[in-house]
Amino acid sequence: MQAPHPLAAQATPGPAQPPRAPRGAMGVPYPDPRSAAAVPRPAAGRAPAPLQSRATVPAVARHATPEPRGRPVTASPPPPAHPDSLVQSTAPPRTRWPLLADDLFRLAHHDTTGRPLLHASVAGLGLAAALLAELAFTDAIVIENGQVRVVSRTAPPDVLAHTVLGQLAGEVAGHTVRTWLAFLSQTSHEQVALRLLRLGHVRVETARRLLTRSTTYVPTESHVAAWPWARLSTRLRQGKSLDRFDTVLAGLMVATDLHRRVLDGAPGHVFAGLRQMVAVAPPSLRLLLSHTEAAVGDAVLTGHKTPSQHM
Amino acid sequence: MSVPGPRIPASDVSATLARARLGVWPVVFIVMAAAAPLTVVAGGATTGYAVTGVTGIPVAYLAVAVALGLFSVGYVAMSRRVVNSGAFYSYVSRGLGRVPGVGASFVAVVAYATMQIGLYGGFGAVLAGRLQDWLGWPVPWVVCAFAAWAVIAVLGVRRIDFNGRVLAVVLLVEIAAAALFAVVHLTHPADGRVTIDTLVPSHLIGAGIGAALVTAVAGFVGFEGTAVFSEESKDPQRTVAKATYRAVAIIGLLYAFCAWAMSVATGPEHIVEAARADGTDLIFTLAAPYVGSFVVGLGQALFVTSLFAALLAFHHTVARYLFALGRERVLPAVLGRTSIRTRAPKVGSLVQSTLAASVLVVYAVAGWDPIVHLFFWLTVVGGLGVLILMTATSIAVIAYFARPANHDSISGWRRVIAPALAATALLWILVATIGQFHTLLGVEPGDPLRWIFPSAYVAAAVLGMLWALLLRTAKPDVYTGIGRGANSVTTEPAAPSGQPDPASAASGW
Repeated sequence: MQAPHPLAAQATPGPAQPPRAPRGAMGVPYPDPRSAAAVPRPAAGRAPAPLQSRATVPAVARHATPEPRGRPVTASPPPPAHPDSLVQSTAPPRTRWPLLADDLFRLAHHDTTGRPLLHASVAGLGLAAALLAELAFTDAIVIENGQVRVVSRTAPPDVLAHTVLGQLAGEVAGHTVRTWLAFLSQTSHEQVALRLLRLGHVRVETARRLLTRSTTYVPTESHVAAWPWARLSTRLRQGKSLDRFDTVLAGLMVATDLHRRVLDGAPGHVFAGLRQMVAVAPPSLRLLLSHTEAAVGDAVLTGHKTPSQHM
Repeated sequence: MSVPGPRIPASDVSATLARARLGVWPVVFIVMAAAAPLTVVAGGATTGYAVTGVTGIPVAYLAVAVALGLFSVGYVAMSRRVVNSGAFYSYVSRGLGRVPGVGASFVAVVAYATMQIGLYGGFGAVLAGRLQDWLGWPVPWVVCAFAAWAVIAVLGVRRIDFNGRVLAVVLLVEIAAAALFAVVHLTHPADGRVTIDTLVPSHLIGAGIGAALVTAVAGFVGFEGTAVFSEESKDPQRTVAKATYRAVAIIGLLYAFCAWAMSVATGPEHIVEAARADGTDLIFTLAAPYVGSFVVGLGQALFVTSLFAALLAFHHTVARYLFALGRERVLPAVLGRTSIRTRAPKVGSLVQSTLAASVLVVYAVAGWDPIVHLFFWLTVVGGLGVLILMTATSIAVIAYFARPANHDSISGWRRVIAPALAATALLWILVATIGQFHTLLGVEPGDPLRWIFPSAYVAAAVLGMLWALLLRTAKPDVYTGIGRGANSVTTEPAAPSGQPDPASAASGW
């Protein structure tokens, strides 16, 4: 069972409220994807690391309220019904998918207005990386020598992850992480927004401005939208360790420079601590994160792909 | 249920990505906008005549175009092999080593920053002149320069760039205007005859030619930006190469043609005194009797916009250089920060704005001339820095391809002969320039200024190399990433190969 989050049982300081009750994608635990009940693992995978090694999490808390993240595929989420619930997965029941892209999307948008906080191209790259991270997290893919390699063709329980894995597996000639990031970044924002929309976490608002029309995905419940921010911000500022999901999420946050917003005003050692925590991710994820950071940096250097920013 | 296996007509990915890629002409337009044709023709060429007193400016443009064409052969061939390919110091790092690479990066920052700040002088003086002529407003040049500075400072941190289409249109109009003025000059020659005196190659061995050549080099700066697009172009093998050659050819022919046409209109023997009398207005005053005042006014307005476009382009260049070096952590990592919302290399941009403001204040207080002492001196000193970088890069290209592992399927012409010819030509220009630097500045041969400007680059290079040596011992991981720009982050060893990852094991992964 996933180590629960201490914050789930305590008040969250700062503007964000903790989720009132476990519900929907934000309120239900997902099990450790490496545990026996999770997605079947590739034969080449490493042995699951023992969870007990997380010494900083109090033993009592470990059996308290479940981790308020992840989404049960076969559970009945709030309407509208998720298409995933119709998928008859071969995976064992109650398999939950690590919805990293959803949480990164929440971090990258204002929790009440849905206003984007990141430049569109950086958000696209970050969310593309998050979609790949979901697959790497569940050992469906590995990243080595800058290439993405599909190691498990078992259908992920999540529709979007399924699509992405299908695209990855469908390319005869393998591509580099950078190519996949560039490719997925073209649609990642919309795809992740649609995933949140399907579960009722956001609603669409269209505004007409002069000649263009802009679409904003406004969170339906701001405390749910603010939860990843509150969780990461609090834990990092208090110097507490992160669980595996949050470690990857924090890595994505660093790669897209969002950490400077999440940790705004925090002392330098908090930033240094964050880098150290991210550095313990497994090689595949670490490579993905560093390639994402490089892609974001390169986008700054070449930077002509910014039609919306031109005068 | 499982995900389907590979399907045969595959590559959706390549096809989708190809749609977003750039063709040859867009790349040409992007880099030529930075080279700002009217700025060079109306500002650089005329001031070049005036300050150096050399009549061979037109042939200098042609000679430099040939040298840079040769340079481009090896540069483009290597651009496909290096990451961060828009920056000369990446080539130096890969070809000659990381220590000279950091030296080159410091030279590059100084060169581009100097050039950008110099352009403020041109913009301020030219705009002040226009305001006086058109509206009768006696605005000091420094006020105009600071107005531009404020706008650039804001655009820099917000990463606002001109739209590609707008730039292309303005660029074409600029080129058309420059060509039109040149045709008017040619059709109204002094003494009624067209001479080619200023195009004679014998100027290339005459006195003061080094000054003319580096003036010409300064006019080309910006063309090297094509390599930035090597990963984003439709055909990495050809697009960047074609775009670079076309940019060099168009720039070279246009500049030489316009500079020659001016010398025809005044007569070759009078071009220097005419340029000294009229300054940056020369191109317009020579044509004014024969074209409507509207055309002259349009040309003058385009000169102002051209200067502004060049200012903005070089501001972004400096900010990006600082960003890349900050990202590599060769310079403080804070420079590698971007504005979260706009993705602008914010800190780098602010640093350059601060530098520019300080220089402008010094010029304003000291009362130095904005055209000669700020615009011409600093842009040409910037050009000298870029000349040093290009010389080093040609040698780096030869060294890089000399390694057996690197020269597969690259012809001898591209990996040895052309870069060697380019290195020879550029080195000759460099030696001539430094030997005649007093001509360039218009000072006496014994003036200490002639050594101060070139030695700034020596200082930057030495400082950079010392810093690299320090990094090698103090921060080996930073040292490994030198020259990789934003990609240096991927050079960190992922895990000790073949061994369990202790960090991961300890954290519960």
